[in-house]
Amino acid sequence: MKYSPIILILLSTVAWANCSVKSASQNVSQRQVSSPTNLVKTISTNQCKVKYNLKVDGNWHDVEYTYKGFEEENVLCAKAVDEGRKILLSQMGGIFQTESITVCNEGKPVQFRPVKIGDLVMDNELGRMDRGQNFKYRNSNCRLFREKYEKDRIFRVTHGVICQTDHQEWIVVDKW
Amino acid sequence: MKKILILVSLLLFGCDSHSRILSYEELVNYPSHCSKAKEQLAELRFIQRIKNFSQDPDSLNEADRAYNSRLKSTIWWYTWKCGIE
Repeated sequence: MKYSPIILILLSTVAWANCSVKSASQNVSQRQVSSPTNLVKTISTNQCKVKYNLKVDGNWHDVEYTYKGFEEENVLCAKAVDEGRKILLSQMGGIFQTESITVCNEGKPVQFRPVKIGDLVMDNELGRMDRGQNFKYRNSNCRLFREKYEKDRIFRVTHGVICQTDHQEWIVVDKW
Repeated sequence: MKKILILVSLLLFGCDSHSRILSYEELVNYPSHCSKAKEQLAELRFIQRIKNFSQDPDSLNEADRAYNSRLKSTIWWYTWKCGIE
């Protein structure tokens, strides 16, 4: 009975800790991937079906994907193109790398997107910009990123810089 | 009256490049060069301080968002391209 207040305090701490585990795999093989060509979009209620050709390492592939959701048509189609490409590349094999981050935030839901300056993310969570080589900033490995999302029913594209921390995560150091 | 005119003239025309706010078009055509990084970064950061845009681009209107985007990407260009912070 003497220890019950201590046990209650410990239990409440566990109950309020809101943790989120993020993990993702990415194909780390270096492939030459073209932009989609001959893109055909078929838009219907809450879905966008895309058909296009993609050149990977000199070989052309037909890609077809349907993305369903409640976003605007251009967002649905952009996501359909992205997902179709991801599936094609994942089917091609290669070396996969898996990363995971556990983030605990007491009492508040954890939100990851859109990212804000100071957020911890995984490298593969944010797209690379076209001129995507890494660079040094304050002796850290950094790169430019591009993020696409929908906000207030408007398709947004933002850019920024993420840098690698000592703990394998990346931190958003700037965004515009 | 003469003193006021001189003062206004100095304020309008006597400022050096570090105290001038560039237009969006001027930013787009900004002559970034690694050899001029120090002075150019000082100029761009001065504008950044004066403009004091929100860190969250989603909270900006379209014009400010475009200006802020061009300004920040120009500033980061020196780190990315010239290795200068």
